[in-house]
Amino acid sequence: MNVQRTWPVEKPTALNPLNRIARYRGAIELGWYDFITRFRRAYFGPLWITFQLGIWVGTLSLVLADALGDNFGSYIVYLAIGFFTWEYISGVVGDAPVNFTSRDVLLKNIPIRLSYLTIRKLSYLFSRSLFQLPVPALVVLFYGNIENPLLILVLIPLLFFLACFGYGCLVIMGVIGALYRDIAFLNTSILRFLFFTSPVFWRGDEGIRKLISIYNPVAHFLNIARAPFEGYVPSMTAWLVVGGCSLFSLALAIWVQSTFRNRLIYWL
Amino acid sequence: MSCYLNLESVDLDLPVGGRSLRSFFARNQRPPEGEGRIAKTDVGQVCRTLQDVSISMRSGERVGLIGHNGAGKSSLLRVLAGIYAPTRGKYEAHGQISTLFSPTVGMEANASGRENIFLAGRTIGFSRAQIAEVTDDIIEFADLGEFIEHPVRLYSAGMKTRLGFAIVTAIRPEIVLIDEVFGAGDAGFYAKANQRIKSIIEGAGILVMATHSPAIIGSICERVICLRQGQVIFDGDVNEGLELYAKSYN
Repeated sequence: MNVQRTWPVEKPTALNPLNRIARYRGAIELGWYDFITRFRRAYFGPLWITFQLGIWVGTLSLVLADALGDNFGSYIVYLAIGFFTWEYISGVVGDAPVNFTSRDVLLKNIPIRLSYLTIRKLSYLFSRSLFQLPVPALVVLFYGNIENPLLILVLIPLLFFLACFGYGCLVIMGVIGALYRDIAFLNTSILRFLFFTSPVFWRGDEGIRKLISIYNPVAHFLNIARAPFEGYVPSMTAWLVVGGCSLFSLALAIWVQSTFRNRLIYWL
Repeated sequence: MSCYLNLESVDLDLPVGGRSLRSFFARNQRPPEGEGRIAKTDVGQVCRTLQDVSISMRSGERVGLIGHNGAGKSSLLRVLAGIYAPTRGKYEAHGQISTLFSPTVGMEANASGRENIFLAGRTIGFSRAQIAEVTDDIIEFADLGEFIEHPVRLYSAGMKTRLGFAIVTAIRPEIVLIDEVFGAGDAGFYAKANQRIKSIIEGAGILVMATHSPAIIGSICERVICLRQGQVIFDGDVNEGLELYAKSYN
């Protein structure tokens, strides 16, 4: 039998293919809108996200700084940066399995690229982080002690890697999560486990905690994020793990989205 | 510019359960055996939604799709739109495709009509400039009066249809695919929509619409494709096709 496929359509955009850049910009705007619209009828709007993180970081520092034998000032900086980064990672892992299933209406009704939906979700997560940013920023301003301001530059590649990692996770788990709906529930449980096994609120300086900090990739993301505020140069291992995870997941995602695009629609 | 849609012996098998690893990795599945619409294949149970469909449409055609519930009209439209990839066979499309399968796609119930023009427009790929250009036209066409400033959740089904149709056709697309959405519109909207469809077709576009209403097909379309059990049983003149369709109910 003569089987021939001309799909995906060469230009699956609904309109002018020259609009591709406009469509990515559109996806970013829609992600921002998705975030804002959650707070549509709340008086404080998205500031609630800021308050939430602020309250969480403040309370936890009050209770734990002393218990973990740390002084309040240095602990709250450690926790604020760690928690801020963790919130983004957990957002990615938590939302990834429903990245495509929650958009089934769009996918079934208009010819749309998976990358637009993924960028839209990524933009949503970044918007959320943007509203959480005042918390670590204020904490650093009040309690931080940045000895080497040049170290702040490590945050730029870190941001890039976090974006790549986010995109990769959202696509890969999004596709798997569309076929196996258990993944969404599995991830919720994994996140709880991951939170306690990552050095978000405890320091991985000795014993079993040190061991976990070496073998848990999340620890390396946190390690780089904290470097400028703790005054150390991130280790080569940290860069290798973070860069490797991010670029590998991005490359895998690009393969996944072209290979499974046709079949994904059947699973929705 | 001319546009076209071509389907050559297209089969569409949609998996029924298909949670197996094999369906994850299966690339070219063999055609199912037997006659029934739910059939077994090497990747599990599938629903044979379309079978051996060959259709070709050229610029300026207005095509109506008719058939009983479950005949495959919506699935065929999705294949034409490039949303469902055919399981077997060949699909070719040339031209900018616009779909109207459900009037509120990309809309947010709590946002106003005006905001939704932006949201839906952005979702289907308009640039900001394009949206700014056509917003007035959309508002005028949808003719919602003061409702345009109020949340879409207050709209009736017909009002949503008006807004959805106005957005989808705002920037003259080349190929318009419509699935059974006119039911909710009133006579005034219907006349306007008809006018706009004609202007799209005059610009050498293609219209394909699925509907159960012989009256709508009779007044808009000039070619009818009748589906039964996923197969094309008639393709040609409107009156003949509608007659066949009416007979199939007796």
